Amino acid sequence: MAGRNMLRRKMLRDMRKNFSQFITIFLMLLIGMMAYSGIKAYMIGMQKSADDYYASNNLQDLDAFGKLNDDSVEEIKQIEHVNDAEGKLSVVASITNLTERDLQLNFIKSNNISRFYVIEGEGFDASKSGLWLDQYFARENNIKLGDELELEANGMTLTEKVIALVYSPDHVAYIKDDTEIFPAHDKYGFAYLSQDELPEQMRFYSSVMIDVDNEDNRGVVKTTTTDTIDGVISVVNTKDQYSAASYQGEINEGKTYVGIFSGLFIAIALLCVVTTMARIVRKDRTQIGVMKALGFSDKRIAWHYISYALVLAVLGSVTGVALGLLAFGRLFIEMEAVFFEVANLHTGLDYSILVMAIFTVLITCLTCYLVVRGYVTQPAAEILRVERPKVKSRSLRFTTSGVFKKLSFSSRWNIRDIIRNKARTITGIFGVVGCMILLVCGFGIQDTINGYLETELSVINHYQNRLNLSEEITDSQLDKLYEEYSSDSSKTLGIEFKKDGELKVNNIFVTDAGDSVRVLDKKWQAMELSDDGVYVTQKFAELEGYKVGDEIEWHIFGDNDYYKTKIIGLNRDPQNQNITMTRKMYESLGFNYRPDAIYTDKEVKDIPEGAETVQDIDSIRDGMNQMLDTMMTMVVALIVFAAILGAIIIYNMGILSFAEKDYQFSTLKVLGFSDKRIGRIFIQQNLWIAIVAIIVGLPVGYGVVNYIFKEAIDDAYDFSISITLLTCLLSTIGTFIVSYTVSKWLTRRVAKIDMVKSLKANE
Amino acid sequence: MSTNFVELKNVSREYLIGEQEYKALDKVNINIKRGEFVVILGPSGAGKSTLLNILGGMDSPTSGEVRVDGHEISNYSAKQLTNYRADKVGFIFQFYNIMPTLTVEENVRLVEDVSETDKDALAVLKSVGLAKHARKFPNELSGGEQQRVSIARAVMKDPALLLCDEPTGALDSKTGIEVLKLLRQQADENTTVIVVTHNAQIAEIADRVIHLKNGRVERDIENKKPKAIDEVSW
Repeated sequence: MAGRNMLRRKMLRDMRKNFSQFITIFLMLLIGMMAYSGIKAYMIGMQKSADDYYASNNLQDLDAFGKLNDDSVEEIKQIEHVNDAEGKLSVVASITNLTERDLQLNFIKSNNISRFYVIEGEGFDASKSGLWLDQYFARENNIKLGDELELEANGMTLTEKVIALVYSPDHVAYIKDDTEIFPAHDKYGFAYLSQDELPEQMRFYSSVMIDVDNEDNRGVVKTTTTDTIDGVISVVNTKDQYSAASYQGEINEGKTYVGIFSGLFIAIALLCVVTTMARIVRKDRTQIGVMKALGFSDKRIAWHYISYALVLAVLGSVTGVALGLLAFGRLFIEMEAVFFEVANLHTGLDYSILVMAIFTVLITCLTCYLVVRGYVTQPAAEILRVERPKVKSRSLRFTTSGVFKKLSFSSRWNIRDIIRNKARTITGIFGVVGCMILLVCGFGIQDTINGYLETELSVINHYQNRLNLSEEITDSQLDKLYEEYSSDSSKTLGIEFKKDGELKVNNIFVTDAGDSVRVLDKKWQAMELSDDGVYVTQKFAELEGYKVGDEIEWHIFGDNDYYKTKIIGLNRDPQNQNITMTRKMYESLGFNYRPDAIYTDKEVKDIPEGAETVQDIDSIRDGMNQMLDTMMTMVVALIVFAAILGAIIIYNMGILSFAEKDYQFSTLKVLGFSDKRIGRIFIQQNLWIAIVAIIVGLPVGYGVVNYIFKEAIDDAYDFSISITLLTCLLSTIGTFIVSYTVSKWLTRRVAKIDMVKSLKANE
Repeated sequence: MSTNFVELKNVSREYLIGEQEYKALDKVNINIKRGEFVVILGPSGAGKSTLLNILGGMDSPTSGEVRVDGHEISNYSAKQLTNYRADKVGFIFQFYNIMPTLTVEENVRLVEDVSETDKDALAVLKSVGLAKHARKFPNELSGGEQQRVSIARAVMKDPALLLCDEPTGALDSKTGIEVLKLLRQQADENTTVIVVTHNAQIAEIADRVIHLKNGRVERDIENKKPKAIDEVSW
């Protein structure tokens, strides 16, 4: 037992002596596990929080849209497998006593389905007047209980007092329209009111929320509702709608990041284990021989060295998991909570985090074992013999002739040092490549989002105001709007299309918008549309398995007639993967074209008759810029991680390099080389590593950004990956700065080299 | 040969080992003439290596005065000591300390990077019998050959002072004698050679023998009739 204690003591002292190397392994494992457990905890937590919230507040399974009434609700309740149904009339209202603020008003009779989660105030009571207001909207606009809001919608004016601040499970995320990607809680919110607040003639429903007894019965209830209930235009699975779907998309995106980031750091940790343990075991050569001579078994000695890795891996993993759960995961959850309104949003845990932690510990120990095995299995006599520096002359031979002969001493020396210390060099390159990838990712994400904004605001949309027209607009009102503003218009149709016997929801954009809203080709350039068929976006075609020449069969919600149209081309759109056709094509199918939007460059002071809302392109731009600000947090986080990773790896490799070359640097000092000169030799090697890492890191970084935007992002989006020259430059300069600064800082050690001690140590 | 090339006046070097003060050199006074072949003898811990390190500008005395070629190096700054090592001193170590990743020729040419020398590396290598090994790496050479590389590197500088720390310590008798011949040859060419050793046999070929004990000069003997190198063995 005493022997074990001595070895333990030796281990602790070795760790103190080689603190920088061990701290690197520890930090890499910590960051790797922190990234893994943090992202996992946030993904699991998001899922669990939503599942609990949906279950406890009874989120509906289906939404039936159409012009419906109490009779429709009662009929739906009678359908087999339906537990309950409640109607809701949703209208968009502008708040006249606040500037540029809109609310979606939902008029209801009861609140058993999609029950509010009350933050402040009282629960729903149909006999009470007032607003059950979106808590986020209230917070952003500093609205308190008791405040009065003046609302105007569809020619109706209401003045309502805020009586409660709430969340609603079918409003976890909500956007005003498809020009927005992320919710803008300051500008647009939701509120619930009693149906009694409406005049008698408006007491109907725009949708009915249906609670089905079992998930498996959704399909049959959906079909029955569509087929048997009058006035139903479409029935949509609630979890396929924006609120639940965008939330789920966010969880799924985590799956991509978790692999990339934790994998990168854990791989670097393993490489550090290889280089550090190899050095320690090599340095301990004589001690290993002595231990063997004393009768320690190979297994016991190997275990002694594996215990270094074990201690580090356990400490790194446990701390990483703890920080992941307590800090990193919570940070992510807080970032998500900016957008998503979920009651009790919290981090979560499952066995996968434990499995990953155990796997990390095992793989670290295995790597360590593979490194030390070769040393400890040698015969004691062999180990005790003085080891001559291992120089494989054959591998260095090519550096003694040709162009190499003309190189300076420091270049030749560095080339040979790299050849001799491949593992250390590869670890260094790997680490700096990681730094480069994170930088390219950080700046690349920003470039891509900027590119997306550019595409939306400069390439696709060319108008100042968009008038969203009322469904009840009369012919004369429409003609007046055409005349007064512009004849550039469009119509968006909710459709279902048949694919492999399944009905899927999508939309058709019917355009008569000319240059106001351009349709883009595969290269993101404006294209002319033909009237002979329809266009589908490239991503839609890829996802659904369509190609040019195929026919697509679809019907408009509320109309049971199916149409088969030929796909005559592919287009691209950053945020709508749908079908596009011209007005002429639409009319050739026998439809009467009535637009739902008009685009104009003219100023619109008041909402004109026939229009419901007016959207200024500048407000869209503001919303997008807000989104960019949020992205900046991620960009900054990536840059910080890049700097930490780069600095730690270069520092670690530098320390290792110094330890290995101590006596060589001492000899150079004895020969009269100045500290500065020796420092330059040292920096040169690190700069070479940085150059190689930059060359490798740029395309790999591009690949990662591409992967994030192609694979990780929701199917609704199709971003053109754009990495600017400035990004390449900034990433390169950033990597160089990290490499040079850390190397320069390390060269301070040259001055501290004790020539006498180093040379004696070598003996 | 009349003026002193190396002068040590009351040189002391103290170290703190833990809380214990240890005197490696205690008021040492030594005078060595240019071109002398000096052997410093003494048991372990006598202060031989400390003395050599101070003379080589790798360490500085705690007190006393060290003059080399008329310059007081004991007052030199770190930068001056670097230049002193580059220009004046050649070192030969027991374990050679040659760069494992440089070829034999490159190891010798290394000094061209720090000091002005008009010597030709291949000629120097030829003089130590290593011309045919010029393109080999050190690990392809025997111990004696590696020590000769070390000598060639030192000679390449044309140093005024050649300091040798147990230069034959890792070599067999025959190879050691070959190395000593090279060192003697340097002294004959007016380089002051100081050899620190345990080996009393080597003292017989020296012009001067200094015995150190407990950090003090015990004896300083001028050898009027040094033996020819071939006459010694161990």
